[in-house]
Amino acid sequence: MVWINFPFYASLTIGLWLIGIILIYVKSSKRFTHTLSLISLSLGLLVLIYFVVDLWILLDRPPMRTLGETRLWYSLFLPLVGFITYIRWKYKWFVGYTFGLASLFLILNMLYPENYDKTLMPALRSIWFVPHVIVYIISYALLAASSVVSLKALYTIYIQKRKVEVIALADNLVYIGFAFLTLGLLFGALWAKEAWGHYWTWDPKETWALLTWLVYLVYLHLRTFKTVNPTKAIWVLALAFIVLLICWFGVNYLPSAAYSVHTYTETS
Amino acid sequence: MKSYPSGFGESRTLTDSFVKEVTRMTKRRLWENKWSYKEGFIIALGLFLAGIAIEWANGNAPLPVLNYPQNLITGLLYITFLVLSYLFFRKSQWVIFMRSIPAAITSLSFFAWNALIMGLFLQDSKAEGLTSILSLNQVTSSWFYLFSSLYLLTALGTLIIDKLIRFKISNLGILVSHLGLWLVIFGGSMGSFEVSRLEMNLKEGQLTYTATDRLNGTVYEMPFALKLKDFRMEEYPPKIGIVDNVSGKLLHAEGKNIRILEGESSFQIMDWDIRLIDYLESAGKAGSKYYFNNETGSPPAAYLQTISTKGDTVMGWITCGSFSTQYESLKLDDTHSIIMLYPEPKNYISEIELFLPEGKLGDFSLEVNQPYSYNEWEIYQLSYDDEFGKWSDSSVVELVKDPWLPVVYTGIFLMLAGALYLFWFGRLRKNS
Repeated sequence: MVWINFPFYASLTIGLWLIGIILIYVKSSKRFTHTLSLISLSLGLLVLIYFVVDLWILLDRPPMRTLGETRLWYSLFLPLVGFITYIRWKYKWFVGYTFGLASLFLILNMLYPENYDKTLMPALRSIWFVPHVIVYIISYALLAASSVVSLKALYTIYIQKRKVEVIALADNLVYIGFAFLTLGLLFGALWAKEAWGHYWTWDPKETWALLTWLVYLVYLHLRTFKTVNPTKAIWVLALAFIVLLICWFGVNYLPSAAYSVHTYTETS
Repeated sequence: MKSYPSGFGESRTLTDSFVKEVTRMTKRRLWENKWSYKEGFIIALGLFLAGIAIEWANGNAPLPVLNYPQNLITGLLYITFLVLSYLFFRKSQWVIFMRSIPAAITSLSFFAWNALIMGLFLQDSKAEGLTSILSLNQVTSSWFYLFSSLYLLTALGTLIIDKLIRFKISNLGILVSHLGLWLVIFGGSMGSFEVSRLEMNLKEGQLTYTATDRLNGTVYEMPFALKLKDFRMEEYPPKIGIVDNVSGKLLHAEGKNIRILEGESSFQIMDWDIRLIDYLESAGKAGSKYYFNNETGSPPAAYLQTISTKGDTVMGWITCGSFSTQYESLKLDDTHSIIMLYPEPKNYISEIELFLPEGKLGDFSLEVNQPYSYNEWEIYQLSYDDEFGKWSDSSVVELVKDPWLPVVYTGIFLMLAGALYLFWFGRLRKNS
């Protein structure tokens, strides 16, 4: 049995978001239009939050075990990042990106529905499960957002041939995203010690998580003295996102994945 | 147009060559003046190639083994070297470079390069050929990994000493983060020589005092003995699903296959309406029917009524079976059957008694994610005899000893603090 009424909730959410995004771009001097767009975006988020809470209760376990479930959380946190960024720094295109990508994930979940599966293996029964996953998802949302900024920056440099100003936004997103990434990595190590007897075993997922962490760390160091030409840093940021994606999805397809305890579990 | 006196023309030529000369003199040559990315890259590349060469020349060369107290002494000597080199050679190329951003980036990149190898090559000892000779399948035991750790620790360490000696409160974030990482790498590496991970196979009612090292099969006598009083497992209700008769594989059906037998008594799987007429958590077969039976090896069984879209009705018992009982499926048509899967474990617990030579010390319960500490040993629930599942009368526990764990935990704690600092202040260094 698939997630109850998910197509309904997801469509409602995407619909509300679409209205919100259109209203943001509509040229209107009325302040009301702007407020209405924010309300519409928030309503969409609330509908999605309601669904997630409902799913959590129905499944009787945190819905964070399968790929589809993590995509759901991503659909929640990415727009949250976009929303807060818009309120703070007024980047319209950013709202379009974050909410658009979240909608894509919701559509993916509708196309590839998962089983409503209450089972949670003993290894995941730990107080670390929820913090470790949530912190990573927040981090991925922020770092993915920063990667979009890097793409825009590359476009500005190479195609528009203008000076890049948007790197300050990238920096802000990466600092916070990296902080959460570090927390996720360390929570994982602390949990591993409680569950498997050692805090680090170079399991494929752990190794790629470390690689992701290291590449973003290189970016942070390149940005320490802001007088340095930012182009190199921007390329590192773009590369970092590829490593992140490999860590998130790619690990499941590597030959070594069969030996990993981290591959997302589906009912087999 | 004015004509300039020839003196100007001569000066211009002189200026050109003067500028050329100055440029030639000030354009930095390698290993001169302030080292930067080029030098850092060469150091990293050189160390990597040196490590590879050692591996190749010796066919998977083992690293020196540093037991206690050699690891501690080596560690302290290394720290002393870092501190003294800073104190006495503060202005040298070496020290200035090691605490610089290019050193940080090149050492991190080199370390990441090794991690990439680990991410791409399966890290086990079963590989053969060049992969094995070059230690690509056991990177953490390789020379190039050792060299990259040393490069990273040296760069990190020099920076930390610098920030400690020239302490400013605005650098607290940097200091805490870097020191944390240094302790984790140092403690983890040094500690790896002293980590013990042993397995004890416990059988109900038996007293066991020997444990085996999984990696080399060495058997150790422990200062205590364990006796498994009871092993028990809670299970989820079993799931049912439709298989293809020819391949025997469960059909995916876009995730619309597989149902857990809980809650509802009628549902739909693919093209069939299914009604759960009877469910027995623990059953035994008599004749062609199943009855409640609570013996060891009694599996769950379900009596189903299935109606296909064409209106064909099939009824019968299914069971997943067990180590002592045959499974039973229900044939729906020529190509489909419905089966019951083994119930999945919800939780498993070992009730254990701890004995010292003098007598019994106490009891404890062991489950996954809840280890038990005794002196310097942590005891973990590892596995059980999964052929017997919840009727397993044996339980495998893992005993872990890690004397350097406090160092690593301190490092982790500092890194957590550093991450929160970064989150709160946005940068590790206060803007000037």
